[in-house]
Amino acid sequence: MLERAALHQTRFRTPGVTPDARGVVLGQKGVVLFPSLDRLVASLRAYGEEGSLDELLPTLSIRRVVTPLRTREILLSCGAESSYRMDRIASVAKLAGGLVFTGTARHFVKYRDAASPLGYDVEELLDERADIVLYHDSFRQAYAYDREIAFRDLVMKLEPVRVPPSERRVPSRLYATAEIGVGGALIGYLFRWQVRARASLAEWPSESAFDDATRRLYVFDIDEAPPRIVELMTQLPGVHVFEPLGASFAVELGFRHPIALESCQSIFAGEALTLFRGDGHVIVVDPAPPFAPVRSLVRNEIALETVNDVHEGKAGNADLGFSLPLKLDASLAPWRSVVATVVSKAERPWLARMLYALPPRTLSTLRMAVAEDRVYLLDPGGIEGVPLGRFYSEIAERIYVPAGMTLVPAVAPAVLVDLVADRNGGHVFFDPEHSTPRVVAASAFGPISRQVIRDIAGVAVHADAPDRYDPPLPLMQYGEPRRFPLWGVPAKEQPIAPDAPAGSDDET
Amino acid sequence: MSDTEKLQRRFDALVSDFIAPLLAGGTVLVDQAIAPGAISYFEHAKSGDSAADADIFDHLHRGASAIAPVQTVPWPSRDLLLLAMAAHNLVLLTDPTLDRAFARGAVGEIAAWVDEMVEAVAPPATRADALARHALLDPLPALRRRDVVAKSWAYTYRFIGRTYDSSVLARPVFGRFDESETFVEVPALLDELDERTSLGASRRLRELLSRSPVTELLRLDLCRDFRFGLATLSVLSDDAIRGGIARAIVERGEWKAAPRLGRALADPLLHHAPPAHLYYALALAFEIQMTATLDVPGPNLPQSLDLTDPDTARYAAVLPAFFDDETMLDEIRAFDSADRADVQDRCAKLAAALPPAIRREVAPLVRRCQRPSPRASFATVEVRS
Repeated sequence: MLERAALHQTRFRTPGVTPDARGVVLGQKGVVLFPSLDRLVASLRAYGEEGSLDELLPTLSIRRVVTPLRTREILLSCGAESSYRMDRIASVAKLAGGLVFTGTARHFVKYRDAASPLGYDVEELLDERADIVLYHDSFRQAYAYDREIAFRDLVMKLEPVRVPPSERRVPSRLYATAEIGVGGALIGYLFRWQVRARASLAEWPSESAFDDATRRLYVFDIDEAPPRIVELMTQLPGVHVFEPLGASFAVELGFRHPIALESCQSIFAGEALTLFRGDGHVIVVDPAPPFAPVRSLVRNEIALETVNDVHEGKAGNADLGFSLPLKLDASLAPWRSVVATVVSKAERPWLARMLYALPPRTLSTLRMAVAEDRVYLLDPGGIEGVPLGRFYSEIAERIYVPAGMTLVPAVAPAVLVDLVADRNGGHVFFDPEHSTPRVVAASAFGPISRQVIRDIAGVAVHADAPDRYDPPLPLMQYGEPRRFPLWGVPAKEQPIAPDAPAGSDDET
Repeated sequence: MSDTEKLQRRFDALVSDFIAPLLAGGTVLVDQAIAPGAISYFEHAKSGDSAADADIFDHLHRGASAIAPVQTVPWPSRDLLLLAMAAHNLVLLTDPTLDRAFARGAVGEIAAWVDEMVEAVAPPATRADALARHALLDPLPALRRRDVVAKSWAYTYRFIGRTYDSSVLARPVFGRFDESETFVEVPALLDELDERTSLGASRRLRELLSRSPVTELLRLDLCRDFRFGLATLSVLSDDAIRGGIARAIVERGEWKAAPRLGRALADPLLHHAPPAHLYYALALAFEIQMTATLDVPGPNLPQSLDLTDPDTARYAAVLPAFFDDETMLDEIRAFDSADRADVQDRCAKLAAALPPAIRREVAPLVRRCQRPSPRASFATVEVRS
């Protein structure tokens, strides 16, 4: 039914196919025939994990096709831009059990494979009324289009699958939805634990006349939630936690969408927020509602009745001015911006040893200032790479307090910068043992390589031949003269014992 | 003192006072003759001076590696010890104090011991063995004796190869001594001994050197009647050693060795040797000339090319004969074109200067020799006799 295309063959019986630059027979489109929908999904998943589905989406169409015997199959069609793209599609489709064809309008011939590296041409065209005719080396079949399946609908209808517990992880950013009943409590809870979260209220109109009210949900955008809070929220009835995969779509935590959504972000373009729940329900919030920090939404115990008790104050003449020193106090807030460490004199040998083990990236970013009794280390990307000394958090620009502590009164960073005077651009370290902070000049900090690593004096190596060892000429010296030279010579009477069958040095 | 203790002392003295300084260039102490029977103890003995032992190993390895790559050297081994014992006794023969009453009779016996030891040395079995022997015996001809003659108006002191107390020469009653110092090498001392006693000491030195085919080839000046023996051809069958010998001969002077090599090529026994054996002898002469031509720019021929000596001419005729013989073209085909031009230039000059009779004599030899088939590329090819 098919014949192999030859190199430099330019005329084909299959309409709309031509050889490309590599000589591969290629039409304007490529189609993949799948026996069932799940094979199509598997193929899309595999393709999306390897490359980007976005490049296919502009020309992608999925149709259910029927044969004259009413057998239904799935046909994926996309633009065959080049044989390289078709090779990639073919390799993935074959893996999922699909058959790959190429053509332009109605007649599609089998795409190249190992048996015919340049592709195929039909021996005879099938003259049948059909929407599409596929020519394979084992069959040729006419199909009629049954219905078209939009790719976005397919994505929305697919139910996420569970991720094995071993592969689960807690991302740094989360979305969560909460029913109205628990939403308010969740706002208070997140505020109490000082989790950076924003909340909004989404509304949908009633889906039927039997719904008594519009459907409402709290939607949370949570940053860096501790794992225990995430775990609690996932177990809370009425609350669903989602892992954002892109800017405007997320899949419920612990689930994975059958299609790699990251590779087809274009279907989620726009203002809508799309959340895929594990039970298959898709929440589309269109447009995405405005989010507000939870600290703004937490309930205050303010009663209007007590407003009258507010007394109006007047300026007095007495000198009530006072100054408060800044103090360090323990803080339960999670450690943030831990970018410095101070290594004491006693720990200095350990630091020296550890520098040999540090990875190159840490060494390149680490800056060091060596003081009389301590060593200051700074790494703007985080000081976790140096597990030594007392860690410091940067609470304002170049102002550091020990990690786990904060300055009270809790003044704003900008105010703090103004308060710490006379530092001339230096780095200010607050120390719990001393009331006065220490200022380390910015010029004292330098890269590790400049500060501690000794200069290397290179030994000039010449590429000449190695010097020839020329020992001095040996001198000889006789021993004491003996009157009877052979007296006392041991083994004098003993003949030479033969060692092995000694070969004789016979001359030729 | 038991014989075993005596033997151990003698062994320690041989290692520490003779072999180690001989290789390292120190002062060799030759004290009392070593009997051939001592080898039964020596070959299993271990030196008490481990530093000297390691030093010897290092120098043997270094000397061997200068010719061809070796992984190790067989030190201590029976053959190396026998060569060292023979060398020790041979050097001892030059002691003038042996030419005294009661001592004179020992000279003949020591010479017989040397013969016995040399006879007991087997041909080298491996590349390392052949090169270690060379490393041991190469410094021997360069061993020198320091003779000091101190003269005053009253006395003349002769310190022949022995130390002396400088206070002897400092006594004012004898006046001021004029000291003259001379250094005499072992071959000259042996020649002098032969002239005095007709003992055949020089012949024994040559026989000793012939037990190390590499040394024999490199010290052809000491071997007047050099011939390509089986042991020598066996050593030359190793391409690496042959190449190393060729380089060493070129470094020491190609045309100094040429007459002896040419004379050995005229040996009638060689003419009836198997073709493969003949090839190794001719290949050495060929490779020496190739090395001399290609290692230095130009044809590297002396300004005045005198090939009237038939021995020298025979050596020189090998290169043109190889070029004339079509079966040997593979040797030349691998060359770079510039190198080939140099070699052809030398070839043309030699061919023009060679007597036709010599060319007719050498050409059949080159035609008859048969190059052995290439061996598998082992990392270290060992010599097998």
